[in-house]
Amino acid sequence: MIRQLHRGWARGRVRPVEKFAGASELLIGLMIPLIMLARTAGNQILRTSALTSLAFPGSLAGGRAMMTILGPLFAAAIASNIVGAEYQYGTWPWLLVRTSSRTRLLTVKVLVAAARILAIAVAGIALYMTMGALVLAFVGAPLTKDIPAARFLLVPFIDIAGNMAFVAAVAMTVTLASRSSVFGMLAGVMFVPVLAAIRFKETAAWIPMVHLQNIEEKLLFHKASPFLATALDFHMSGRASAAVLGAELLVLLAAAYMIFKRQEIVY
Amino acid sequence: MHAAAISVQDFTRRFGRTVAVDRLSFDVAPGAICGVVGPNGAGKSTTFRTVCGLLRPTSGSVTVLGRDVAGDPETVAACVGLLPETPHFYPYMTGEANLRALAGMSPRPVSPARCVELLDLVKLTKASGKKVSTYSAGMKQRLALAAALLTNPPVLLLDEPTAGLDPTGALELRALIKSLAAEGRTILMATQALDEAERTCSQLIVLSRGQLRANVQVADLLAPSGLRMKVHPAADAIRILNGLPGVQATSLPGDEIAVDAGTTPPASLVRALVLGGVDVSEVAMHRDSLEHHFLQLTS
Repeated sequence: MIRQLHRGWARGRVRPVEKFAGASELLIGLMIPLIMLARTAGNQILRTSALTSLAFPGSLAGGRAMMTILGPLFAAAIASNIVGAEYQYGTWPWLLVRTSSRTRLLTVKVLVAAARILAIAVAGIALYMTMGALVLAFVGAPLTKDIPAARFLLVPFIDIAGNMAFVAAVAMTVTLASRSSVFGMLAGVMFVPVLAAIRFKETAAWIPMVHLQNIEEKLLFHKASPFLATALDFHMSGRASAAVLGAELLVLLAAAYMIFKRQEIVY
Repeated sequence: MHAAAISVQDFTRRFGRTVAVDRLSFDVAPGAICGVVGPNGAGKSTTFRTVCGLLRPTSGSVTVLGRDVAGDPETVAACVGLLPETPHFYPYMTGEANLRALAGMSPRPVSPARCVELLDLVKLTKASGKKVSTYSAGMKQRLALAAALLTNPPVLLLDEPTAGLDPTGALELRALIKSLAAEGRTILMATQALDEAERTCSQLIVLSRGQLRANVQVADLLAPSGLRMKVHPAADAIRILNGLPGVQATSLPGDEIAVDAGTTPPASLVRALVLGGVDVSEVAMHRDSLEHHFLQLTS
């Protein structure tokens, strides 16, 4: 298993989609602080605001905002491609005649995809924060400002991580079902906006984003979210939300497994 | 030791209403090179895909070294090497990296030295550092053979192994296949090239429209079936030979005759003809070509 994980990771490292997804994520993390500095030259108010944003914990919030937009895209691209590339290149039969256990094969794929998505997300945020610190050091501004409690820094990542996990699971499942990484990736990318669009009182209990928001607010403020309670009539506990999220993610992965297990793949 | 390395019994495979393979049964002895020939759509690839575990039989059983392909795929995968009809690799990786990646997915650990050794065996050492996207069809075929041999499997499934190879490459590959069988491996090989089957295989399975038409030893199939003689005058020769006990002669175009000599040695026939005043200019053993048998079996 460890050997297969290592090989799975190594194979993806040079796979075009993973390579370019990682490179573009890092490039964006690298460029944004520099663009902020360049665009605010000559305007003191904007410059002060930019420097505040680049100082920790503002830089962490900035990295988080970047990941809120880009994270699901990269998660969909990587998760769909990690299985889709095998259809595209016709290499499934090679793997299937070697690893007759499809369970192990898919587990390796899921774990490698999760590790890669996490690595890209962490690297992107870390690079953005490092560049921010370098920019601040360059202009002689303070590197930190008003650091809050750790939970206010970390809990907001639950929403992003949760969304990325669902997007990745949908992208992988749809790719396996359709044998098309393009369709799988589109399905993954569309997952968050489509569910956001159908977020009503009647559907709220099934929408992952609602549960993620519920968990975050419970962890941050130790009370029910006024928005969720009034707008969506949503009153679940944090634990119940976590259970629903876990069950939904499990259903998605089980669907992916069942599809893959029953699929006839020949050379 | 199992009686048969590969055993296919009453194997049927349907795709919807289409019957791709219909109640196919054959055994391949350990160490044999068994060729599977048949026209397009005969069911060769379906049979191969089932033997290597990619497809499940609709009914019947397929066993490799006594292990059921459908029931014990893990064990079967460990002892089977597959060379698919059209081998695909990760085009963005080098030949060696592809081989190592496949080695990493193998049921048994494969050392990097084994990859280097196999690249040398298939004469790809020089090209091992190049991306597979730059490889010719023949190079991919050789890389695929190296991949099939990664775990040193006792059973090899070669689906059209020389497809896309130039004559020299095909010759080298045939020699390599024979040497692999000489080491004790059992080889099941699908091919469209009858001359290749004739030169390489010891056993031949002929399929047509999903059904078994013949399961023969190549040596038996190609055994001499009589004599061809060039004689003058032919009519006298036929009269003299048909007068000999157990001998049957028939005329062929020109001055040729076909003789079924039975147990009579050819020298006795020639002596009888010469004593009867017949000129004998050529005597040859005759055997029907594999192509002739194939057309008869599949028509």
